[in-house]
Amino acid sequence: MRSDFPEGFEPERSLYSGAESEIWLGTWMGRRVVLKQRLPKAYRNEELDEGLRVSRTVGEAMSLYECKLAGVRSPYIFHIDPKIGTILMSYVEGPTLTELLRKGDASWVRQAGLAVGKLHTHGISHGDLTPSNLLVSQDEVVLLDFGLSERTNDIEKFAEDLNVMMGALKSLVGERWGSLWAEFESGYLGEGSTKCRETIERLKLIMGRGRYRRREDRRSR
Amino acid sequence: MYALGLESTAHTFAGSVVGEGGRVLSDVRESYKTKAGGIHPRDASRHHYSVASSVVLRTISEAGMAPSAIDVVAFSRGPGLGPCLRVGATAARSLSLFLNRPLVGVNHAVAHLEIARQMSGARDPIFLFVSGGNTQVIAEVDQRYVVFGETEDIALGNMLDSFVRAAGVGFPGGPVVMELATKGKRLIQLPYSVKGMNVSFSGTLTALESLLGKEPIEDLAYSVQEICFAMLLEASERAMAYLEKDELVISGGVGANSRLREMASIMCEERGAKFLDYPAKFYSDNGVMIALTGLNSFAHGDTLPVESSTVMSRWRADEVRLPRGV
Repeated sequence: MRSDFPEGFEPERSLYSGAESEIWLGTWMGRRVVLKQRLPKAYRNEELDEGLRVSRTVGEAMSLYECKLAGVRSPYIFHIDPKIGTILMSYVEGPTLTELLRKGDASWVRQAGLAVGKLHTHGISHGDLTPSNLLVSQDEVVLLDFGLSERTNDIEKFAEDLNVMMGALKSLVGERWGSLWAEFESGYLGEGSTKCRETIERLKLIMGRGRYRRREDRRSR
Repeated sequence: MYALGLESTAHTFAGSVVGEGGRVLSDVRESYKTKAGGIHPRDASRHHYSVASSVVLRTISEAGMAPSAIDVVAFSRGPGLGPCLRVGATAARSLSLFLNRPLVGVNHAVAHLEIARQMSGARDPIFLFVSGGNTQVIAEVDQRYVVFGETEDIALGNMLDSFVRAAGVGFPGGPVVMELATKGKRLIQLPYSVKGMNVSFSGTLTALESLLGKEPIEDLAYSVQEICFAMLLEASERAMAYLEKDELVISGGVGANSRLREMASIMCEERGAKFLDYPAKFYSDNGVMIALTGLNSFAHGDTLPVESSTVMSRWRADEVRLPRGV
């Protein structure tokens, strides 16, 4: 067992092992919790490695908190330790948007759009906005994984979020993505924020850029 | 069956004859070098014109065979610098007509990846393609090389070249930085920019240029290497996790840097994956990769009529359907 878990954390099992972090399910002070840990990378210069893990751990915790200020649910933070790169947070139970869509349930897509709109209006980009990072729990949308998020007012970043979401919807439901996207967009614009309207405009621009299109599509323009 | 391949996308004009099973019979290279560094496309193409016939003749004579024994002529059709590409294309067309052998147009980026795959023995790897003009994280999907991550601005090789040119410490960037870095010890903070599987180097370059003369060049070289290579490997590792691949292969000139290969090998070991290396001379531009890929394409019936063999300087790797299967 790893010796550098936060004090009192009892791991149950590993939920996911990503490129830079490992996610554990476990208990802490009698609660069910999720532990996200950024592991040291032996290939990186030690000083660089520690700097990155500390700043990313703190940054992610800040984003989780800012998300709540934006009026969107995210896991509660119980404890962070930048030295060992850990964030202890509440375990949120419920299906992800991916799982719901696979079952043919599209009833949460509009709510998901609304949540993302609030996040952007508040000045946070998510950075990895896939349907697997949106969860439905107790009749509310919960946003997860702020590992790549930024506090920003750059419309381009928000449009990149939407571009990722659109791509994921396309690969998830194929032909039907258009109607799902319309749902998502109506939720996204639901609060009537100028930032969201600008983001939708920018998204159209991004979709028209050369590097996102194949040669045949460019020719037909 | 034997293929003669010609490479001329950028600074190198090279030729090679490859036989079945990837047997390399000859490997001739001539590079355009300037004192100040950098490439002027017109001057590079003049260099290629001046060495073309001698490279072709040496390629055939080193292979120890009669010209008539060659079955197919392959050339690097793109992407690359137009004037340079046209030299290789012209030489290849002439050979094809003179020897009365079919012509095959090879995508330079695909050739880099194909030689990496074949020489390393990888089955289904993540490719880190990093050279003077390219920085991409690639994997094969449905017989195509798909780009999953790339630089949002300049290529790493290009960035290293710009850095050493601004510092006035020689050229090209890769080898100079590697040499200087061995004497550097201290890590200097430079922008570290990874966004998912994408990277960005322009901010790092600006910061480096502003530190010239204020910090020892050896420490700057050490830091740029540590920081930029870590960015590349973070993006590669994310691709490996996301696509569930357990092999990593590097291709392109920057791969000749031994620190990058060392870091790649540690990263793979840590995640229970394999970093598959092959001789460093095949990382940079060469004719072998063109002959090898051309031979394989030809075996799959992919030939190019001379009259429609114009070069394609912006030909993307993902537009090519890869020669696979029987």
